[in-house]
Amino acid sequence: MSGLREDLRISWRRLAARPAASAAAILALALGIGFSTANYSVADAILFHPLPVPDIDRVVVIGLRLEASPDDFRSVPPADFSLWTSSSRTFQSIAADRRWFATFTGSGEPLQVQGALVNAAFFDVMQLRPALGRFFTAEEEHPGHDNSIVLNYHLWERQFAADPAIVGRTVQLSGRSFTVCGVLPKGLNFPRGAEFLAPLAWEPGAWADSSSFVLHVTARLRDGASLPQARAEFDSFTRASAAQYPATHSHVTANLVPLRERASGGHAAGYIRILIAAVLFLVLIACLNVANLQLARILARGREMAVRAALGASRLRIARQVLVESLLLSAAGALLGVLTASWALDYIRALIPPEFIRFLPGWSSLGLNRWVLTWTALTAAAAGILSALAPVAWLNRASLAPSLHESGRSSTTGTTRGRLRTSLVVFETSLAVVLLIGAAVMVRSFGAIDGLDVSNDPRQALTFRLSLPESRYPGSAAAARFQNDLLTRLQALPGVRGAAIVSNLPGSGSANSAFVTVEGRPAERGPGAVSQAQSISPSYFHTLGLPLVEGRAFNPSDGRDTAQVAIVSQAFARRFFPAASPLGRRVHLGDGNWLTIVGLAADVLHDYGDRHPLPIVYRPAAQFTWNSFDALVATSGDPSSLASAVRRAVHDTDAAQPVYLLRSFDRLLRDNTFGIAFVASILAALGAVALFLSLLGVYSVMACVVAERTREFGVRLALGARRASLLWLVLRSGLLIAAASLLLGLPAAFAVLHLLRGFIFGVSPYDLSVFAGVPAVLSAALAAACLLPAWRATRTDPITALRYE
Amino acid sequence: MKSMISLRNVDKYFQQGPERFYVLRRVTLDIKPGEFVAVMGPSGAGKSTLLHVLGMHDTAWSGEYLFLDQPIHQLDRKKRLEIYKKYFGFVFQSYHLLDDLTVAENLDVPLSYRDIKKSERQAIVADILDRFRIVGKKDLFPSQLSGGQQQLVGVARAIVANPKIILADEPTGNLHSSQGAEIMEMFKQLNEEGATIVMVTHSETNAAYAHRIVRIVDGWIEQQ
Repeated sequence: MSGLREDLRISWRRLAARPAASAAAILALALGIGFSTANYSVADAILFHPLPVPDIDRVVVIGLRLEASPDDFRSVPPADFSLWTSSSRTFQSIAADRRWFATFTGSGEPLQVQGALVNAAFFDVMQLRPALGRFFTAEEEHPGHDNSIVLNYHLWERQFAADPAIVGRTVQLSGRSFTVCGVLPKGLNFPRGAEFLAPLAWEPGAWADSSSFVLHVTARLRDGASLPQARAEFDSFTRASAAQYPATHSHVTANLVPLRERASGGHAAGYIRILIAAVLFLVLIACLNVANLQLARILARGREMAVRAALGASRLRIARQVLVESLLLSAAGALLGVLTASWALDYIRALIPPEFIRFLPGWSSLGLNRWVLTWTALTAAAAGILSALAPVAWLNRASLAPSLHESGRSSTTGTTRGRLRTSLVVFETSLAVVLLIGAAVMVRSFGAIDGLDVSNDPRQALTFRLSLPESRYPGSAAAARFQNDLLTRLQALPGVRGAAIVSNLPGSGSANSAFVTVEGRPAERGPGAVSQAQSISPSYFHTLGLPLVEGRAFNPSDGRDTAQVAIVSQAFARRFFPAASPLGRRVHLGDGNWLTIVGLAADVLHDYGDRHPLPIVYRPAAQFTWNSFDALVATSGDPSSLASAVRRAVHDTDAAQPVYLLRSFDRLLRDNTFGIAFVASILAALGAVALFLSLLGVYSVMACVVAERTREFGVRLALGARRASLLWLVLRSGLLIAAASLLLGLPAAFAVLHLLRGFIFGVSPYDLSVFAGVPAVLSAALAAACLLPAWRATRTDPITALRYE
Repeated sequence: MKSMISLRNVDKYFQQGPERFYVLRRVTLDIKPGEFVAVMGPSGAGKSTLLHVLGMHDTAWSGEYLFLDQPIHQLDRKKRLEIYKKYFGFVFQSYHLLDDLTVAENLDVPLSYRDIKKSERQAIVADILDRFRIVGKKDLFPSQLSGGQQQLVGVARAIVANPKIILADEPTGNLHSSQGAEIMEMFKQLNEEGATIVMVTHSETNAAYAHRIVRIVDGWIEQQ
């Protein structure tokens, strides 16, 4: 132990004696460990501890999917839920929930609030204790008794100023009175985005509905049951459902996913894993950098090592000294890394718009907690050991005895040492190539999806969402009247070029879909028979700037009492009518209402996750009226200047109707691609740090090479070499490192992007501009990093150099 | 008297392309306990190489090496190190003090490699500082000492672990004659106290301190 203390003391003194080299190593480690810590913190919040749910790994989210689409995840009909709750032996409790956009009134302006209707089993599944009051019980799930409500902690804080006397208070939601019975614990943002939970109280008959795919299901595994067992059990359930309900359940199977994976949305877990892999790359790059610096130190201390060996030190003891030095460096790097992480987390927090936070379970716990700091400590220890490996391996192989000879020339040739150092820096730079290319492809992907192929500028359009409560708009005629009145008011506003409504705008992240049946053909239920269904006002295509390719647009005469009509997208026509025009043909969307196709619209990519435009059927909103819909207002100037006029128009149409998600269309598109933008910006930052570390590595290697070859440069100059030739000599070495790094890095990047192709949208994972641009930038940067050592080489004084020893 | 060191047909060479360049050639040598042997020869003759073979720093050679009847040529690195730590001390021409350590710390280094307790080590170092009359310099770094003082510390470091045999590679090569004489007197005294000494030197004056001179030319030991 005293020997270790001694090693620590000597190491500290040695590191302090060479502040520049020590600072370079600490900086590299601080960047690697710091960014790793910050990203682990994000992973910890979103992936590892997203919800304060006990034994979260026992909780599973259950959906349905088409057999041919493994990534598909659909809501569940009530009939399936009823079968599962009555028959499952692998789950101890199964809960259902359904989103509810409610209008909150009675406290100032009407407010649109997203909540969820859940059954009481939800609280058994989550095994939660209320922060305040109680949760509602199974007895309160029955119609007529369903007047209790549980508030989310965030809503309680925001809307009720965390009033401890909230329990027992009455609130109005979409015209109904509810009594607050409790408050959810802090940090429980589930179901995602829900700010209150109300009982899912349906008449018994409603639970037999097999055709409405409306429920989200979560369940807790029984003790001793495993997820594979549950999957097998649910396969048998879906087979039974397919036999019982062939029209809706053919080719459909259950999809059971751990809650942890889906708590933050479909792609979140995958993106977080990409970030973790990227930071591990970065830590490895930092380690290789420090290993190189350490190796240079050890080589410079070759004689000291030999003397220690001659004084009786074993190789293990010498290696221990090197390891202690590395660990000391990594400990200093970790301390500085924690500061770096704290700064990076501030930056990451600033990236997330406040309104997004409730969609990111766990985000409130983002920070340097004990799990994150344990990760920091482990990363630092691993970095210390990894960065000592190369120097220790060299010490183990090298013969130290020649260093003791008077000349001090090692028989371990400069070539061998140089090769090891160059290998380390080549490996480091090739990892940076992979990270840079990955980051560049992700940034390109984000750039490619950040826009729609429509003629009207999304920056000159305002959007908002409305959800008309059933209590005040009980039938579709009332909702249709509201829509017409609203559109008339909006179109009359000065500065408005057009106004339209649509069930879900492109880029909004939501859409309804249905199975298409073509007249004269048998009904199909495979993935190829699915189309999106949108209800639109006649002005939609004009307002959006989406051309109509053939046929006619809807007009006000397409009403409730006229023939039902549809416009289809080109992708729809290609899928269902590849050989002829679809105009005049009839289709229905599973409900038996035949629609005559009267127009053909250009394609539009509805969601950035779609590789290609999907088939879309547009129906007149007057014939198929939805109570929840998006509104689009095209403006001739800055859309934000029209926000209050738009609010007034809604208020004038119905004073009790709140406006939800009022923002420019451009902002809506950016919000929907926020996840990939977040990942792209973090990866871009990691790529920049990786590039910096590589340049640092190449610079230090070239600086060592130049120092070691001073005598050679002196001889060359004495023999008549021009200084430019020395410059080229050094630059060429740097370019050779770049070439070797690219030779290793490019195929590796190709392989990594092949694995990540599911997360890249809008561009090819093997985007040529990235695969050509990154090598060009890297080569130029590496050449620049060699310039200072190369310039030093040209300044060699032959007289001094020839005395150099 | 039985030999302490016995070399039989020791060869050492470097491969240079197809050629072998021999540094030591069929070296056969016996050194008895308590002997003071000087190794002499021209530059490049293989003197230092022979010393590093004896000191087991160099293990890339062929032939037989018996130390107190133990076949060094058959032992693994760990066992050789154990023998070295128990019996050997080494003095270098260029002193090779560790620059980052003070005089006292330099003297402590060989002891720290021999698993001696800290308190015991401190006592030994204090004793050796006193014996070499360098107590006042114990907290100085090597760069703050003259060449003679550095070599004095080098010799003190070589004997601090109480070795039975001291190997010295041109110990006065970098010193003025008066400083050299002081070091040689120190070796003489150590030899009289029982230490076996093998010293590489170019100096006939220094060689005169030895009981026996071994001459080496082009790797061959001349007939004694």
